[in-house]
Amino acid sequence: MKLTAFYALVRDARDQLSHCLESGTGRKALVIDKSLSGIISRLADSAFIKEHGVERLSYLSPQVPDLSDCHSVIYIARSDPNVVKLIAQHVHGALASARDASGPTSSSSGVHSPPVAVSQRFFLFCLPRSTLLVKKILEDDSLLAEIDVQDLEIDLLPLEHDLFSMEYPSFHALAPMRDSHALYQLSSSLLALESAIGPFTAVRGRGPLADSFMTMFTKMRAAHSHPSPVDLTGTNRLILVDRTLDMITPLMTQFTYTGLVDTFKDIVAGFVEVDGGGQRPRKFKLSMDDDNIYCELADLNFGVVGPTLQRLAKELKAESGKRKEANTLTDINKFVSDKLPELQKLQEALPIHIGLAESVAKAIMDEDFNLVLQAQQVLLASTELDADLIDELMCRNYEPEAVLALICLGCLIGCVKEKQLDLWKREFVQSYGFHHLVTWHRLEQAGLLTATKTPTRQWANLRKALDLIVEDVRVEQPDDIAYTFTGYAPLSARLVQHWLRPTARTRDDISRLLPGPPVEVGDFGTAGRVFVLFLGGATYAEVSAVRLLGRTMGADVTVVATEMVNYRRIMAGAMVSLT
Amino acid sequence: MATMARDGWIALGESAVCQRVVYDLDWDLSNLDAMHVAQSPTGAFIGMARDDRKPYFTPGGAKSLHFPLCIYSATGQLLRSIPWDREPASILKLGWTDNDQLVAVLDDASVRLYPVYGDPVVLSLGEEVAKNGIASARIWPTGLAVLTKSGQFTVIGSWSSPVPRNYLHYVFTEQPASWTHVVASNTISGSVELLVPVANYLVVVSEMDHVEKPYSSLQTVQVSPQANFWACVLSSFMLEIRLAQTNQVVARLDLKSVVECDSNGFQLAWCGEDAVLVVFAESLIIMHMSGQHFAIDLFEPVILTEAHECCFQLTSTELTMFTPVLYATMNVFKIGSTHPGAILIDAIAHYSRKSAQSVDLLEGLLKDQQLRIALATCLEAAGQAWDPKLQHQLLQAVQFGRVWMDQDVTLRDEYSATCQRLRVLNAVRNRSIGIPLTALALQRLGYVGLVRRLTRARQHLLAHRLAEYLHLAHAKVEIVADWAKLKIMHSQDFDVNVLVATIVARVQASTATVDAALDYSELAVAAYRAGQPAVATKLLDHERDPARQVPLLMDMSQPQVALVKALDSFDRDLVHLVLVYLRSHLLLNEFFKTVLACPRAIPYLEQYARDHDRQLLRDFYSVDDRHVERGYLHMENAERAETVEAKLAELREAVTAFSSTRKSAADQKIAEQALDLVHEQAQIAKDHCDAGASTASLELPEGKSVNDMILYLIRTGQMTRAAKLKSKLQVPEKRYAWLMVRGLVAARDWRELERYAAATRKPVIGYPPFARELIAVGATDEAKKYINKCDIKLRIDLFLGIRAYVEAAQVAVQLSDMPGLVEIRKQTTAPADVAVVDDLLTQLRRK
Repeated sequence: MKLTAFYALVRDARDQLSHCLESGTGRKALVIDKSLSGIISRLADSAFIKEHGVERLSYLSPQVPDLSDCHSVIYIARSDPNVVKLIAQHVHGALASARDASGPTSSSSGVHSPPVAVSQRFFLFCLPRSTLLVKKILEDDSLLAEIDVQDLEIDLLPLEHDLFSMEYPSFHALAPMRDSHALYQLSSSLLALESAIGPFTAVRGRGPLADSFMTMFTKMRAAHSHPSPVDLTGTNRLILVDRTLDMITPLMTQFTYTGLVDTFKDIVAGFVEVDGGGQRPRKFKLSMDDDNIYCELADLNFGVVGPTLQRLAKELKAESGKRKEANTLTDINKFVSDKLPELQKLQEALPIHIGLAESVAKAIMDEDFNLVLQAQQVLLASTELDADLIDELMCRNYEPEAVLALICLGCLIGCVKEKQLDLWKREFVQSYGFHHLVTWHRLEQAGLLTATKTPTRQWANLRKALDLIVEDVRVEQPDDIAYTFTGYAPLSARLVQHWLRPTARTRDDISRLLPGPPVEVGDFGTAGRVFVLFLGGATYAEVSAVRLLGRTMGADVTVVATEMVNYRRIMAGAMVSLT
Repeated sequence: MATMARDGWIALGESAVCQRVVYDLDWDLSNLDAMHVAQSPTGAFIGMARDDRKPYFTPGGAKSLHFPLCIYSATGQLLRSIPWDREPASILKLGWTDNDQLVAVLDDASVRLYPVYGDPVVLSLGEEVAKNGIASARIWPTGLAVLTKSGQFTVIGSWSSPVPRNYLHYVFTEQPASWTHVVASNTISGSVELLVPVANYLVVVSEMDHVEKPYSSLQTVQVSPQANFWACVLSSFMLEIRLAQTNQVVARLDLKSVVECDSNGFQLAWCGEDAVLVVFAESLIIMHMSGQHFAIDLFEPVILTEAHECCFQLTSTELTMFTPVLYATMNVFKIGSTHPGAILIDAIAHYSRKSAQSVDLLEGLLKDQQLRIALATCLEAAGQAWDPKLQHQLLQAVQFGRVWMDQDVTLRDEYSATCQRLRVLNAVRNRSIGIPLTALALQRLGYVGLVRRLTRARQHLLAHRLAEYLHLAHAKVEIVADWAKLKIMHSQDFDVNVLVATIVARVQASTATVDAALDYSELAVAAYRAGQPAVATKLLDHERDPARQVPLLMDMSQPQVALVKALDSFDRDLVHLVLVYLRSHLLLNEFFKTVLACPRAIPYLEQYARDHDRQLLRDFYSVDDRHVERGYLHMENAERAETVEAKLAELREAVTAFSSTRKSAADQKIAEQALDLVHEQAQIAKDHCDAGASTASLELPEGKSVNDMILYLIRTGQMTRAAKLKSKLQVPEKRYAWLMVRGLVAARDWRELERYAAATRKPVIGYPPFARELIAVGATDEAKKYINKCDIKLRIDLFLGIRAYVEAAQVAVQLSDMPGLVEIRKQTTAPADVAVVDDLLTQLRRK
């Protein structure tokens, strides 16, 4: 029963994609908006796409590819005006060249005239839904009759059986609460989820974002008046994690295997780039479902990844050795049919994970990285920020994302004075470029760069009340979520822990120390599935922490995130893009 | 009963076709063959227009020069007359869509779709078709095809997306005498296919491809409704039915042996999948699948219309229907039938004559356990019967037989469903409604489809009653909506409030039990189009879905209301849509005024403009006095600028923007510094060019920051320039020192580095950075010099970092650090080093 929501989503999404690829006839070309390529390949491999008659596959770019030999061209894109304008250009180009080609030959006569230029058909599938604006743009371009616009309703990308992502860049949109559209999008996605798995009977959460999400969700649910879905498998409960309550965690350095791989190798839609063995790098799919090795590694503290890999390699060798022991024909046959496919899969995945672990290990051996890590831990534990370190890092043009993240952390903890912050601003823009004035401004607006006017004990109190710093973490057999950040228990996950099993003490502490308002709908109880919704993105380490909570508290927990974040992506998101 | 039931049967071997006059026609028309006539697929409507290519003689004379385009009911009542005297184009072909819209193909390559009531939709078949002219056209319920005079086909495959597709790859040099189509759902290619007899070929043209099949010379082909069979008339007037898949001949008839054949103008149509009808000037021939045929003499011109399960025949006086007699009816009423159903009918006949034989017959059925079959067959036959009297009698027979049986739930349910169906059928077949609907057609249409048809024919009352009777809640909503639209259109002089109240009350009464709400926006559109904007606005207040409200409000020139509604929906795209609309319809200052009046819209405007119209955003910030924001925008633009001039201009704008308030003094200073930096960069690039070949090997400054710039200058030895830049941009000593070290190390200029280290007694950053930077580039020997100047406690680690074990050990000795020295010894591997370290170890031990 645990997998139903996952499989329902995968099935629905694949059906949608299948429907999309089946449109049109003849030779088909598929043109995908690059930012969606991860989502598409997560759901369908190239064989699936070929099965549907797609012969050409390309990414959307300003250069117009020559697709004149294809009868149908299928575009997949987000409902973004700029992207749609680009597609309109392409279609205009294709139509013009088709006219040129058919012009002279149309006067040719003879019953056996050779086929002239194909009359092409165009389809645009908008993810997750087409909008009136998209249609208006095409209408203004007088293309609405030429392009068949349809929805590709993939709202949530199932990454793992217990992890769904909207893949919607939402951190900056949500955190300062400037853009209610992300909430709108999320509400529609959650409505879609509800119709797949049944309604949420109880909701818990806290914070302004959680509150406005709940308001919007309730409103939209009423307006849509979906036919009440059939729920066969008990109740669904929802926990809302408001990122504005915990901006600290995503800026910290994660210390789980997946978290570090994400930090250093950038996981996009569950894919990571790995060495292609001499050729150009290839995409590797991280999935606990098909990869037993990843299944073991995913949530581990990186400190135990090395030994685990060693053990796995030994086991694999021993298993392969058993082939030699198989003497009789039946034994060999049994080995080949039962074990071999599994073994081959492992043998393929193991070196890739070893490679990933090596590159992560190399990165964390770096002296500066360790200085930053140390500074983070000192900051959290003793509310002090090593100003000299930051100065020095800037003098040496160390990775700007890391420097900014550290400054932001200092501000969030409440130990950066205004004078210091002004100084850093000047130093930062001089060191990394004046355009970062805009970056700085955006982070200020996001509430990440606020100087402390009067010293506060807010963080110290919170740290104490919720046990955010754990001295002895057992990384091999973790019993506390603090293992995910080697000593720091993510605040977000501590809140989830509270809502899963509230105590009077934590309830008081939370309502005293964290901004409201509280969100409480229905009787939460202890039975049924729990969906933990991270409004504004989640880190992989937090996912691991929530998984541990689920295991230790015996709850069936699924994480739904607007996007997967880490400090690099958050900081890079605030920087001026040159597109 | 049996003789009555067999009225109009045309026996064709084991089967039969029933010919039934359905309605006498009320119209006063005589010469149908000079007209375009088309009957809708259900038979309910007849479209008629004058065929301009044919001579037309009227007894009245001049008045009929311009015959209007007319829509009649199946009983010949004129429902609608569309004047055609001012139309520039003439009609080439009429037809109907499957949702009762009259299709007219005109000779100017346009297509018009007329709903029975309401405004037409005009489609174009494209420039190519217009240029070449249309030679012939075919219209079928889901689409149409035209053959141009240049010999190419253009096809509309569905009315829901009526895009004309040009089948360019096959060109007919000669106009074929006839051709036909196969709908897309029945073809393998997935597109509409056309079958064209050409000489000794049959050309099958699909959208992507064509096939030429050798074929004995054909005149006409007609594909059966479900595309299982082809009916062909050969040039020799041989009528053949062939299997579509294998082309095998199923039945064959030499028409010349039956009637007088006339090759110009015969009609060929299917009657279900069972039989084919051929009409010549004076006779009609029916050929059954079995090869049996029957000829009927005709006394006036007829027009055949093929429907899915029957065939209509229209004359100037009556509408006749040919239907295959279905199995159940056949079994019950065939002469000499021994089917249980027939026996049951026999039994009831005896019963009514009070003959004891009726009991014997029934007991016989019971004994053979065939009463159930008899009842089911009679029930089915009742469902198929047209005459209400016959229906009644058959149902009575079923009632009579049921007494003899145990309770049978299926039969009971089937019985009540049949009664319900017959009530509906009789109601719509009634002359006052005039839809000649067969039971099979109803099955295909469904109750909802039927109710929709009635609604379109403005039979609101009957539709509503049927919906009520059949519990079709959603259909009821549609009916009310349609009624309301009509009401709005015909209530121009009503008080607005009263009208809206009436409509809303009626709507709410009908929708009370349904959770699907009525689409008020549709009503509002109707009201707006009917010139009642006030009613429209009032109705829109009842609409729940903003995505429907907003575009309409804009169309109704109420953009402010639209903006508020869009904001209420939280749907960003909807808000952007309104903003785009406003921007294109208002002057800039009016646009800003509108947006500023609605503060919630401001973030949306900023967001949209940031991505799509940055000039607009700039103007907006200026108007709204948000100079600091504008400054940041200019900074961003500067980063994106492609030329130095543009960059400078943007930065200057930024400086001015920041200078407007004291709060942004710091930002102003930064912008000024940015300006200085760009100036400097431009200057250097210029010098570079002037210097020409001698320094061409030096690459231009890379990167964009002050650090990058100073590093470049130091690396290329332009120390004075670097120092000038440092003081101009107020670079702190400490960072400058770092840059100095980094730059000199990158240039591998050890002497200059030494000089710089010696210039001050102790560098502000100390010596470790020197050592570290040198280590990073692998200059270990150089590094050692600076390590020795570092704080003594740091030295061991630094030396170990470059594997200088001996030096590290010496430091350990100086510090008397025994554990450190032991650790160093452990790491040492080179034999020469080991000896020295061992020595030092013993030395320290001795101390």
